[in-house]
Amino acid sequence: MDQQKLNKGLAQMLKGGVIMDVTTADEAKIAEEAGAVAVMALERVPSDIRKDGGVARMSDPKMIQEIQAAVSIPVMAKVRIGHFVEAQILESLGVDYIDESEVLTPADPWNHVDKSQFKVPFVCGATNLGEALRRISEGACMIRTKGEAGTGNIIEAVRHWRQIQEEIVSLKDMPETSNDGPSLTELAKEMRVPIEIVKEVRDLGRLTVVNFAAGGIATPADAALMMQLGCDGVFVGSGIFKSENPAAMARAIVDATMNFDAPEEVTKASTGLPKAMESKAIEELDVKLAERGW
Amino acid sequence: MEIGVLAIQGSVTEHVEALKRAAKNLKENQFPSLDVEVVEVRRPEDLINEKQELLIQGIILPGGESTAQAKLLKRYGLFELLKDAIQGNLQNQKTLLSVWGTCAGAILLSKKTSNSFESKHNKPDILAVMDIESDRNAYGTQIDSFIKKIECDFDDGNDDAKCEMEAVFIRAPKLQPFNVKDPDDIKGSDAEVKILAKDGENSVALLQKNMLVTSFHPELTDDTMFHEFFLKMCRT
Repeated sequence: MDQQKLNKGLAQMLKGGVIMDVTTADEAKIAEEAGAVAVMALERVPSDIRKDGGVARMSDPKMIQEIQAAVSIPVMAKVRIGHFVEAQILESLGVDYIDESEVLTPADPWNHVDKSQFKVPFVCGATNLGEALRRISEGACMIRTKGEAGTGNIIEAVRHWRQIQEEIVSLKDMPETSNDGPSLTELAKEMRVPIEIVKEVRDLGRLTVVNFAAGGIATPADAALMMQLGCDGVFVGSGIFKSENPAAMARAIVDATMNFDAPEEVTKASTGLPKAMESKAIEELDVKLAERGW
Repeated sequence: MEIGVLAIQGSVTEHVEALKRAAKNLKENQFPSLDVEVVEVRRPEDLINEKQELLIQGIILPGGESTAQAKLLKRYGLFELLKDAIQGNLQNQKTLLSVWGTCAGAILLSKKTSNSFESKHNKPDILAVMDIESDRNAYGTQIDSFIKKIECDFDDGNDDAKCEMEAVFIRAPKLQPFNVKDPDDIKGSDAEVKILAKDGENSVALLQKNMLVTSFHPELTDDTMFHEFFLKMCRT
């Protein structure tokens, strides 16, 4: 129990920060220099995973170790949904967080990793409240809205976050039990989570863990948008190292995230920036990554 | 009285809430006339006005990522300003700015850290204002983080100065007063470094004049003892 409390606390220390996808030690240094609070070590950023197709797996431990050696900020790495052996490997490597991620090809059609079996903290994606609470019940200490990774298109990140928020608001006046109409008991059953966590979220008016936005953030304004909508921080995947000038984009997104509620600062961060990543309309996608996970 | 929380990144809202609870407790039990306003500090103008007068009496440097915080303090023009305000070097400065660093914040305040220290030849990337040494992540990685009862002694003349509290240590640094004679040319100051709390042999809360550091996170537990202590520091 202490471990999840500690892990939730650790995730709180990332609040207000930007976590950047990096594929090499050099990229990790650029991210750290720009003011990232953590890096996500992976072999290919989501936009390349989309392009390449095939099965996307956990990164080579060697590459993760090189990144760990290069920076002093926390290093996260991804495992396939349900692949608890990949998680064991990352834990033994001493990564700071594991992201059980839909960006990689899922490994288990029914189960996510039982995160309570690990001491290392987990972050997981969610598209709605039920999914978020299932992950937290399994032991996740941080949630990120899935968005649609590798698209440079913010609409899905906004959709998922608004969905979660609306569902939290709807808990407020919901009776614990009811013969006609929605009740917390029914909802908990539908969501397949203990009623206690639903009540806790109702009382707090927010998730019980930190929530970061992810999947589609391509500009400083995108980051500030998610922060103004109430997210605790942002993940930027392809948005930085697929832009024309990663160092400048990284710095601008950090500036906009910290000063999200000051339009003049976000304007400054957005002005004269090199070109953002190549982007995609959601309708053009062959695969929707957000649909992975259950 | 206005108290700031450095809002670059980290456990900012947790400190803001804890300060508000602490202020309410103090007002109800000790200082009926106490009014505390908590402000988030992001830019120089949150800290001083055009006449270089301080707008706040105290500031908390929250837990977070010390590397990112230090870089951003510099980028946003807060680094020198904070350092001057804590040391009383601003023009027109009447009182020292009280400061409390928790975890990452404590690292930012230390004159010596495992990675860098201030000397004649060395300008560290941290504020380096307090005569303490911090060993970053000395307890280990997140797997070695822990929650534990610690013994506190505030030594402020009250009978209840000694007490126990639950403390959350998350990738905590080890903190200790540094031996001024030890590293060749670190400039120590005259003010004594007092140890306010210990976990066994390790000092986990230290005070030097207007500077307080804790290696743990009082903003993550319900006990507002340290926030109340800090507010009292800011009052004087």
